[in-house]
Amino acid sequence: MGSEEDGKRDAAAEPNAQGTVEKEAEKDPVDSEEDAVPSGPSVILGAMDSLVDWLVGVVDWGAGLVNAKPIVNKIAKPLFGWAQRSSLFALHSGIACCAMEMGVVGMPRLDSERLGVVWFASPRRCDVLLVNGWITKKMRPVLRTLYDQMPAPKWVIAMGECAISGGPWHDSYNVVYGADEVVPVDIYIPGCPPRPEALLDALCKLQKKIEMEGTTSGLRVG
Amino acid sequence: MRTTAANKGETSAERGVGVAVASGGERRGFEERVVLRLRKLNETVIDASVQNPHRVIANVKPEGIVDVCRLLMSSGFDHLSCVTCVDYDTELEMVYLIWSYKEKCLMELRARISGTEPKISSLTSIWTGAEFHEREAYDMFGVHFEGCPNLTRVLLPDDWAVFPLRKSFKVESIHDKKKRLDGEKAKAVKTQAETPAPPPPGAEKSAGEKGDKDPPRDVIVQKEGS
Amino acid sequence: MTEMWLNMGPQHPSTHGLWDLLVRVDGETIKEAVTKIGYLHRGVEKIAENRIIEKFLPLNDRLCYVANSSWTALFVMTVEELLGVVPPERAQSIRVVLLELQRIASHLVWLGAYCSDMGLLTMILWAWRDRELILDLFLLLTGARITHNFPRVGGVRNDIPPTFKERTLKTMDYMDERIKEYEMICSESTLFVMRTKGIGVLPLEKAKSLGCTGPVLRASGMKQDVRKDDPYLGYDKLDFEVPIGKNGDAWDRYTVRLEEMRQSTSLVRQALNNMPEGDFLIPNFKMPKTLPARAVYRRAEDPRGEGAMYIVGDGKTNKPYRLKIRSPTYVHLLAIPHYIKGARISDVPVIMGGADPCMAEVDR
Repeated sequence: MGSEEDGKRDAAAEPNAQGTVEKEAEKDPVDSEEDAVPSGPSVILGAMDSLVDWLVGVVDWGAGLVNAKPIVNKIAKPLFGWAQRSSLFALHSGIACCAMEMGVVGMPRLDSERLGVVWFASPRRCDVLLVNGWITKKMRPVLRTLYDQMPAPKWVIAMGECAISGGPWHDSYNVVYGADEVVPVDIYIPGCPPRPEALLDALCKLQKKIEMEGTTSGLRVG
Repeated sequence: MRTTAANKGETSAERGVGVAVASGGERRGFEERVVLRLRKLNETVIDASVQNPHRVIANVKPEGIVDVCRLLMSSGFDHLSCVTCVDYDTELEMVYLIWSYKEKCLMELRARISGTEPKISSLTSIWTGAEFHEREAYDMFGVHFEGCPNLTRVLLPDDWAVFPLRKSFKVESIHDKKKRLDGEKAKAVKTQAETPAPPPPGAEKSAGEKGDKDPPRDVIVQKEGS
Repeated sequence: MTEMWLNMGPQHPSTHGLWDLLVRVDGETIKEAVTKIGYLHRGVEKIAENRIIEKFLPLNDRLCYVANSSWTALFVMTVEELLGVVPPERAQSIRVVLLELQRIASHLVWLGAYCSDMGLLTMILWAWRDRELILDLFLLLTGARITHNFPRVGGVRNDIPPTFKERTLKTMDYMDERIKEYEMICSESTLFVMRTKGIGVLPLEKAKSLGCTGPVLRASGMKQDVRKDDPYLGYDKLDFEVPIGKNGDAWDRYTVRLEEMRQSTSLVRQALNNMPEGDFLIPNFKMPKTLPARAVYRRAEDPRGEGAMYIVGDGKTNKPYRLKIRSPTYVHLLAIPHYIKGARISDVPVIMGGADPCMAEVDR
């Protein structure tokens, strides 16, 4: 659904976190000509991609004919937004004490799955990055790599005082003053550690935020 | 016996340690035997004493640390609990804490080495696990352990050049930082209060002068005809 | 055969924390391994030199995010030994209840995560759900779920609330039943047995030489426990057994920890039923303005092994001149490369989990 292009567009539109926007664009894999000869599954996927592009083109042309492009967008945007926010994939990455409260959110008592939030180990398939502990100078490039590996659209939740501002380790020689020095943060959850219900509340707020802002993936015409 | 400060030149015997016989507890032969065996190595052991049941403390010269530890290992001290360092500016005090599982006794060995070029022999020939504690002591204090197989940084990033637990590496605590910032803020407020506010523009010239000047900012001018 | 270096970490579901295990594999067999830690190093020891004792106390809970109170209790015991202060017996008994409940909670976290690495996902849901009951007890006693800040120099923060004893005893009865069910799920599971028996064997002499302690050493066959050998908080008056293993493999590490959970429920019952009357804090106790110019090394049986603190006072201030924290898992993680040779890649999560890592304590 054109999400790769949207990914690149989103990378350019993100708030400038330490001027690394250009780096992100460079890092994003561009389809290179000397890439593998299409074979097997990639042929099928390529064909499906072309089919989808053709369908979107048809909808675009048809909507243009009857001057219905705004209507199509008005229907498609909330639909895809609802789909996006109801099935958030969060990265299974625990740093410190707040990670224990994050883990509890996936467990029977609080069950994040009823909100549609599922935990995945690989950053390549996740939408939400939870930063739940203090960031050290050794960890800084690792966190940035994890964030860069996630496909757009993506959101970051800073959980706990350490991720907001360094927390009780503010005077340490090795701790960064908050996760927003490394990645752009959408939601801050105060607490040391915050109750797991606060994380559930933050996930609900994130869903509201996605509803208000709209997702950038999905069908768009014109 | 207590002194007011633990500074260089003071032996640990003066530092509140050195009770010859356990007070208030049973006499255990094992600790006393160990102390006697240690005192026999008088080139390397400066002093040794029983602190209380289950605790023996000894001051050793850094050159003889491996021999002393071999002796302790043969006496039944088989668990190297910790190797650490205390920084006294010109001198570093290496502390070795060794436990005997069988006799249930803790041995504290202290050795003073130079603060400018700290080095001492490694104990990895006796305990393999000494490497882990020595790596941390190197990482934090810069102590060079001769004979340690893998003396590299373990906790800090590899390219760091400082040894943070040395007293010369100063870090401002969060409370001191807050006090300093509060003090600076209070000073700024006080300076502002004491400095007379600059007069509003045009006020100093208002007495007896006419002319085309802009009215002062806080005066609303009613234009005629508006 | 092709040899290559595989990097497992720092963000990896099996590492349970941020650390790296680099393994050089020849096909599937591991030839060499290197542990890389330090992603969570905050320099707690340097921070301690800058804080007075009362202000450093809450930071001890963050020293190990799974077994929080065991480090606060250890710090408080170290300071008390330095000052020559003995807390009242009731306070000691309350601390024992807290520490043993903490041990059960810590082992439940370990068990859940360990089994989920092997694919036994039921266990993580069960173990972490039952841990919630223990966290409810902590909430009742201390006011917080994980960062309790409960022990104080000279005692504890408050006395046990009125309903605490009854609820705890009920929870311990429930836990005894549940431990039987965990045993049923894990020990009678062919998958679990196959993945743990004979894997990651650590012989006793090697374990002692490496400095391994706690459940890892007990699994290799050494009957030792700091609570019995170097007793504190009245553990010498309590009746419990020290479980040991035979072969030092991952299976033994599991059985030792499971049995420790059972012993802990018994200890909680003993401490609650025989709790002496008295003060929960030394009356009118004030921290002195200076710490004596002495050094003290205090060891304790952390759920992960032998935790210890070495504090040096300088006789001038109320701040420690030097605080050294001896972490058991620091040694265990760096010791893994010494006994992982010859294992397969799929055994790596089992071996890593057997060391029960808690990275905040490793990196300090």
